[in-house]
Amino acid sequence: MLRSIARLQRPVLKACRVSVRGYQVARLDSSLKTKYDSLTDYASYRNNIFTHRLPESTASQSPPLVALHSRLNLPSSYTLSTLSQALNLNKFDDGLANNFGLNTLGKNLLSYYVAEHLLVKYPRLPMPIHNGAVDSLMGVETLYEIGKSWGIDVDQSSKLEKYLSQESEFLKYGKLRFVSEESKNDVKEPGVYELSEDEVSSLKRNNSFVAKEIEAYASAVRSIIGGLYTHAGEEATKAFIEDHILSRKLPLEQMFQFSQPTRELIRLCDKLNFTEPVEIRLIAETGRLSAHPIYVAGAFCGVEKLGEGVGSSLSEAKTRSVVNALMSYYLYSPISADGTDVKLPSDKNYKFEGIIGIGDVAI
Amino acid sequence: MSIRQLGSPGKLINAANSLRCWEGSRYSALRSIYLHKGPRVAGLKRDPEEAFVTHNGHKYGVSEENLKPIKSFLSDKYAITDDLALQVLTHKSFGNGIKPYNEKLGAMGSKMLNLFFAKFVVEQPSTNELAINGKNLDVLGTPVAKELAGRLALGIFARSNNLNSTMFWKSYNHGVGFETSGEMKVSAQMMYALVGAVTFVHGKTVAEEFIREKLLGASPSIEDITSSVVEKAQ
Repeated sequence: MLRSIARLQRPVLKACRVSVRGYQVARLDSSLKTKYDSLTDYASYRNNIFTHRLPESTASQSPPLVALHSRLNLPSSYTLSTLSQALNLNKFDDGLANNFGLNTLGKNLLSYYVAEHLLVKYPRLPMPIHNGAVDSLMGVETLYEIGKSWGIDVDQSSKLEKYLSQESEFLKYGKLRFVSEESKNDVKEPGVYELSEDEVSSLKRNNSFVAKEIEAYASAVRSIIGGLYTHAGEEATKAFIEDHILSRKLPLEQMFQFSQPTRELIRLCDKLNFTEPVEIRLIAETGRLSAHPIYVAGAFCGVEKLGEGVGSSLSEAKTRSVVNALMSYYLYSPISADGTDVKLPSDKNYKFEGIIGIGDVAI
Repeated sequence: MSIRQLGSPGKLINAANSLRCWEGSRYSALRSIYLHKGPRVAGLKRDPEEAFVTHNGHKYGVSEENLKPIKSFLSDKYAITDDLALQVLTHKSFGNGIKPYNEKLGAMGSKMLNLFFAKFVVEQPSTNELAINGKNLDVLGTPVAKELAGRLALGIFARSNNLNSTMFWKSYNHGVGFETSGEMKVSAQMMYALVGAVTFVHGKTVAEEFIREKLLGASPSIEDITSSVVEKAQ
């Protein structure tokens, strides 16, 4: 009897399991032929697909590499061979180590410093806006633009073309290398861009297209940041990220779009435990019978004015005042007791003075 | 919609009264509001006494019982305020997100953990000739390096340290397993938020010490859990 009940229950549980996708533990990339002594002996990991790194003597003979090093004002401890490795995305390039590790390291550094900057400076940003802001600071398109502005060139000429034009072999070590030798030899039609297999699969997967070149530039920028950490430490990397990434102007106020602003404001006041009701009050008007009436409305919570808006109709003024109230809440940026910007957790002598976001409201 | 419609006094007084009711007194002087108990009925306001209770009977609020596991784990060295500790334990799914929840703390904590473990795995001196300035970057991107700050390992860590015994969250079905019910994900989110809270309150350097001392120094440590998770998957 008991057994039959157990049998009956099992399919129900099984059905639940099928409906939720389980956690996928990361798998080893077998193409890298990674060998290690034990899982947690991190020093023993070795990607056997790569045989060597570029010797410094070779790297120093590459003019674009030396120029890039000086242009970015990198410290002298940052070797040219690492900089050259940061520009190499090829997995199969005569055993030369590529930028995979540098890219991962750079991505982690960037993610942290960008997130820290936004979370402390704009603690109340709604999560979709926060994610959008992270993307506009360190997304692939942005990093591509940055990489372009750093003057990084792509190595597109084949071995034969290099030989025919008597191009120095060292030149390529200062260029972005992501095009395989085979595809360099492909006949290209001007104005026609043929998608690679990866690009086609990404198009099918998430219906978005990121050209290989854009991804390659982004990867190079992240790798250069990762390389800076390995040679100059975290403080220098943080300063570099602040100079090149966080210094960019971010039009946060243009990123908002409210579908139901009034409802959102009422819900927000509810969440903040405001005891007084939200009211929209008419502050001033030019006269309803005038040719072009203008209304000034204010969103109030008791005697506190939360926002104000001007519009050519009552409805417009109301919506503007509510949106104004929401924007001034979401875009709030704390300042320290002495009137300067609040310190970031990674700053020296950090003291917590800001606020921590309490989360968005569900409408 | 006109201003008059939006600012209609009836609606707003309702809102004010409901807030007053939430604060404690059952009935306000102006108008009484029926607070519904029992199964959810569309349009009826639920009694907070009943609405803000977890599936296993924990009542939302700053209390010794709710915060004890997390506070004893943090110890005095990494102490955070009670309100922040409650926010760490509250997931977005609880009470339709009306209470302060841990999303932003988690965002900070996950980035902090990912960066810490990326630095942690490359910092050991290596003889690998591909190492850059003594840092072996070949380990980055391997399963163990990725899973150290992964959800599964952190979820199991929270469970083994009894940190997730009181969490304010809601599952589509609390009766199913650790992973399927979403408990693993919410526990991991809580761990991210915990690291995030320490980062916010004490700064990055102290947060790194915290991870080293409390996560790597625990028994079983996050490293042990991660290696067993990775071994099992391979």
